[in-house]
Amino acid sequence: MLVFNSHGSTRLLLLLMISVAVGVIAICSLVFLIVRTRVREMHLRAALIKQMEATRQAESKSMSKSNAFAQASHDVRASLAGIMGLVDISYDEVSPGSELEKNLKQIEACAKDLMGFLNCILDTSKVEAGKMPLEEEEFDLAQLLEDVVDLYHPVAMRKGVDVILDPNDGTVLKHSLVKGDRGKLKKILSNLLSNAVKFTDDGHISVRAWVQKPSLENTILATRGNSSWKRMMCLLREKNDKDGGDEAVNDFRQNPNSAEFVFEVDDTGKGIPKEMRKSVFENYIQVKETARGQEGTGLGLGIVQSLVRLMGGDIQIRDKDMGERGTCFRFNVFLAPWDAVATKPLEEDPEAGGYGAARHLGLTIRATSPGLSFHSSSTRQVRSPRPEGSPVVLLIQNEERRRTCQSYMEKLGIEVLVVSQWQDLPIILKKIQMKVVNVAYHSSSGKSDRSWRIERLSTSASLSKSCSRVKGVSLGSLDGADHTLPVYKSPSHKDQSGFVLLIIDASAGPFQEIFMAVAEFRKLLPSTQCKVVWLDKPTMRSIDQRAINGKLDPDDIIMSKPFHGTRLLQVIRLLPEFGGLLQKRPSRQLRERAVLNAEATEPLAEETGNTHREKPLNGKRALVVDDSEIMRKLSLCNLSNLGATAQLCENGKEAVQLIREGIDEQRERGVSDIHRPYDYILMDCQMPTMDGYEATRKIRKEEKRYGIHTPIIALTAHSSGAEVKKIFEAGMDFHIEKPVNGVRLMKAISEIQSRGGGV
Amino acid sequence: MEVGQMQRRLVEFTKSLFVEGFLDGQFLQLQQLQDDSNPDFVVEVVSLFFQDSEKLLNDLTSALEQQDVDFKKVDAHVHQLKGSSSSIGAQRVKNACVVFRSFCEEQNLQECMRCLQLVKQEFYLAKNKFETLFTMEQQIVAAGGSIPATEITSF
Repeated sequence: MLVFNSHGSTRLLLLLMISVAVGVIAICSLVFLIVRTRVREMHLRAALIKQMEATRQAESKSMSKSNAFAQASHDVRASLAGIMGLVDISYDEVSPGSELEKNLKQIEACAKDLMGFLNCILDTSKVEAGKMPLEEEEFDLAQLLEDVVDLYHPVAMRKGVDVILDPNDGTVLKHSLVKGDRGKLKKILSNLLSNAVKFTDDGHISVRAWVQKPSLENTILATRGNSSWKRMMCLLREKNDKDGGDEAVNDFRQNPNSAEFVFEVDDTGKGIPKEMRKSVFENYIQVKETARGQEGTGLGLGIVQSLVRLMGGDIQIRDKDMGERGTCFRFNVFLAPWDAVATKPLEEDPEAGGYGAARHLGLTIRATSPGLSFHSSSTRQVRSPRPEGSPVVLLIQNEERRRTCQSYMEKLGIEVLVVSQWQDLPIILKKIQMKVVNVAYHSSSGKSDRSWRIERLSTSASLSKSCSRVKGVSLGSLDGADHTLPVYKSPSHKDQSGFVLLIIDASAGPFQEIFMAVAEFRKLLPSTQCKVVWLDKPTMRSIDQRAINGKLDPDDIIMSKPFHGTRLLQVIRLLPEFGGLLQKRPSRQLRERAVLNAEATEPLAEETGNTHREKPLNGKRALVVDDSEIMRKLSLCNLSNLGATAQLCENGKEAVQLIREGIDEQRERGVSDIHRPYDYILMDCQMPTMDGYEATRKIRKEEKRYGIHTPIIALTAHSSGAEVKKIFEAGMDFHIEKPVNGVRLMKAISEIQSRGGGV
Repeated sequence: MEVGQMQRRLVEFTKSLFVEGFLDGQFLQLQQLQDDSNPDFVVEVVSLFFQDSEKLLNDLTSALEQQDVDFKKVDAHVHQLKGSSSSIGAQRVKNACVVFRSFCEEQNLQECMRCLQLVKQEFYLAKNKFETLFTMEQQIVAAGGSIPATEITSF
């Protein structure tokens, strides 16, 4: 039995020993593992701390670098400003047109370029550092677009490239007053345009913009963005600079007031190959193959992208249609409307009077659905051109500009006849002529008889001398640049005399021939008012005044290119349907007439600011006798400047008559003590009918009867001894050498006064 | 072009007109007469001059083409032209008229015709210059700037 027991116990003991061993091993390995992980963790922690330290150092290094850079740039900027200022001052000292002036101009240009590069680099670093706050100011978007386009227009024109502001569908005009960061938007547009100009050698660059209601999908995406899903994704992905902007994006898209403004800069240049499309937006990348001799830091598009994203939008390169070359950049931003009252959301009918100061009463282009892209015109509802409306003839050289003008005007319901070549102009004019005659015939006789009266009209091409000779008035007198929409008014029956508007590019062909064609057209339709707007280059006029003997019609307008934006609107407003006046005479001539009519017997009541300063001849009445209209005008102006009123007449005979009448009128009134009707008389010596000497003699005779003496001042061309003698013998008191001016006048008058002749 | 540059160009151009003798002090007087109550005075007077003078030149041309030239009449026309050109300060035109008149007194038809050509030339030159001047002024005003006053330094 003992053996049996021990056998069992040893087995038990063995079991125990094994389990203990196993346990010990287990524990040991566990401990080993724990220790190992611990050690590893400590290593990792140390590494992490090291890494963090390194990052912090790197960040602070970069920060100090940017600071140093900002500091340095201040100094660089100051020096550059100094250079530019000095160049500016030097302009005054230099003789114009000299070699030195040319050099100065180039220095100025280089300094400006340097400034540009500097700003470019600074901006990039600012945006990257997230230190680019969005400013908010109220501004006119349509005006900004026009300004930027006009800014690049001359430079592009020198290369033969036209820069066109495409009015598109007019939505930007409607919602033109906005609140947002004007400076950044201008920078974006300028950058894109300067690139377009750089890389385009022929053709055109179009800039267009339109307004879109932020579509539902966008808002859904935006709201989703707020969720924690995106936050989680952020933790896993690399941090990119979009993050800062994301909140802004959400802000914009969720703001019910802001609208989405889409812009396109479309050129016919070298284009960007598809593979490079994404990378052009990265900093320092330039499309090398096409950058022949083009300078630049390559930062432009990167900044543009950052700025656009900062304003809540994005930028992309659009595919162009087949066969079209060049690049089309499209970007969108969100802007809030500027109007104290406009808290209404975009869903409301815009015609009810939502945004800004734009007038919606008239004809505007309705969109079929808000979320649709407005780019293609085929889907749009177009107003059919009214047949009674005034036709517009468009002769513009640049094809794209022609197309955009035509489509915009047609959208407003204007009937546009396009002349693609100057040789076709007479044909188109004939077409209108026949139509107008038809209409006139209809309204006058009511018959639908088609007999035209054209045979009676002469077809001679010579300009008759009776054409009025006042030169075409430049467009200073029309309204200032307001982007209010043209308001359509249906032509009343009274205006049936017809109106034709010709918009002609003066460099579209030989000016002489175009002008003759227009003049002929005018003659053939005497009852129709034909207004011509000549588009001319401001720097190199194609309109040779001498060649046409300055015989432009007074109603004609010469407008400087480029023809778009406010100028386009102004011209549209000339049409009677949009508020134009059907007047025959410009107000300028009317004013001249008024001066001429001063020869009537009623004295001219030319009150000048007597209440203002004390003028030496305050309250005095003068009589001006001169056969030359210019002299009369000059004297009148001089006298009114000195505070006097003046009566004008043409010759001695009239002068004597006026004196007589002045005396008679007093006698009729029963004045006992007759005084001289005028305080001074300015008498020209040489005049037809009756000259100054004889008139003076007659006046003196008349005056003797009443014991009065009016100081008479002779206006002579010479002051030779003989002449002066003659003057005094005739009875005049003093003489002034022509031409009259204030100084001479006052001298004469004070002489007279000192002699005791005046009161 | 921005306003400052345009103004500079205008000043330079005006100065050149004085230096080259196209304008004299009378033009300055005209400019001084222009103020807020008379904003377009200079343009109006100059336009008036060109209107009148065109007619005068036509009359002169036809007068000199007559069989029997009436030199008195010719002289009267030239006198008028001289007067009006001097009143706007168109110096060169005026000087040409002075020469013309002396030949009228001599009744020298050949020289008179030559003088007429000279006067016409000066006239159109002056017209051109004035138009350029006014266009520049209008551009400045349109761009929102103001017309710089012509300073009377020594020419």
